[in-house]
Amino acid sequence: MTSATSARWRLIPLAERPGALNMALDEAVADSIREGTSPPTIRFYSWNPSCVTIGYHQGIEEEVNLEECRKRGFDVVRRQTGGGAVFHDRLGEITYSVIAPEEMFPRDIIASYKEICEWIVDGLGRLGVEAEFKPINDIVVGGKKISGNAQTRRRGILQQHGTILFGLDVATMFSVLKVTKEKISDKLIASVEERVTSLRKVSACSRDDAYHALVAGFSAGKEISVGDFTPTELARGNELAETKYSARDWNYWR
Amino acid sequence: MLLSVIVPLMPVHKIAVKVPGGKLIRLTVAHVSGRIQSIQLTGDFFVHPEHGVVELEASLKDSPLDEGELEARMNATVEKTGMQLVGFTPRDVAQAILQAVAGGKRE
Repeated sequence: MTSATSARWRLIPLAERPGALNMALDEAVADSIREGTSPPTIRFYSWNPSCVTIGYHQGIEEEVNLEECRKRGFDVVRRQTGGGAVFHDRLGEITYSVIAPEEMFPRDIIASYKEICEWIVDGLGRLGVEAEFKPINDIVVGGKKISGNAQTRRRGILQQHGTILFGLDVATMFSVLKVTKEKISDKLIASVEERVTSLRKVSACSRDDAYHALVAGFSAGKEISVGDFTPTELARGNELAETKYSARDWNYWR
Repeated sequence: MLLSVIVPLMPVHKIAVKVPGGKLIRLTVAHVSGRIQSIQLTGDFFVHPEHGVVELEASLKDSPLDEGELEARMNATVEKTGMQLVGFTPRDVAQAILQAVAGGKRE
């Protein structure tokens, strides 16, 4: 069986795109891998404009201040993956996706989160930042969350995406996300600043340094070549961005 | 006609519960005569495959408001479909439903 270290990977370098297209490209890549026309893929991306994504099972109006997003010109899009709402600040974070045949990873969901999250931990270590995987799906530095991750498995393909916080604009985040007191209460700490950190707080690195360290962390021990989306993936991505990820049926299904 | 009489009288309850060591589950529950009429489960949890949440909700329709029965229905659905729940269990949902009906926000 092929494992993550014995496969040949494609690395698609960091590029910024609108929210619907980012989500659509992940799905288009998964389709191509399933069809056997693309290799397992690691992709880095960011969001222009800034975007709020919500988890597959979340209620859009329960989680997002839609009026504020409209005012600020931010995208709002539902992900294929479960998990929580995320504010993707255009320059405040780096997002990745790992898309590959499910058989390359442990069947156990938490174990597969751990395997991929360790690549992030490796990358952060290259910046001198000591991070650790915290189940279910977080990476923490000094007990504070620096990365959130979400995974889906569809028809044989595992897709995990996540963000690594570079800077944290708490005021904007709070203006676009509706944070519940129930969610905070369990953690016994009221302030997001006490629960969340970012590379800017724990390192003197630039965003560019952070990106290159993450690329190194994700690539370590793998046969990997830099590549791009195929024309089929781009066409399928553009179509899905319009017909699925921009559609009310998808984004407002709950 | 009958529905238009019943619907305004149907109590609808909402609740959000953070599962210790798990995820946030939000419920909107409507019930009549001690049985669930409709239920929506939202939150930042994971269900694999994701659309399984709709089957979980469907399994609770017409269920009596009994923790054991609610949990058993969801467990049977999980077993039948092979879906995986991450960040919550059927028992968490069953308990949250009863909590919602007892004291959740009523609309």
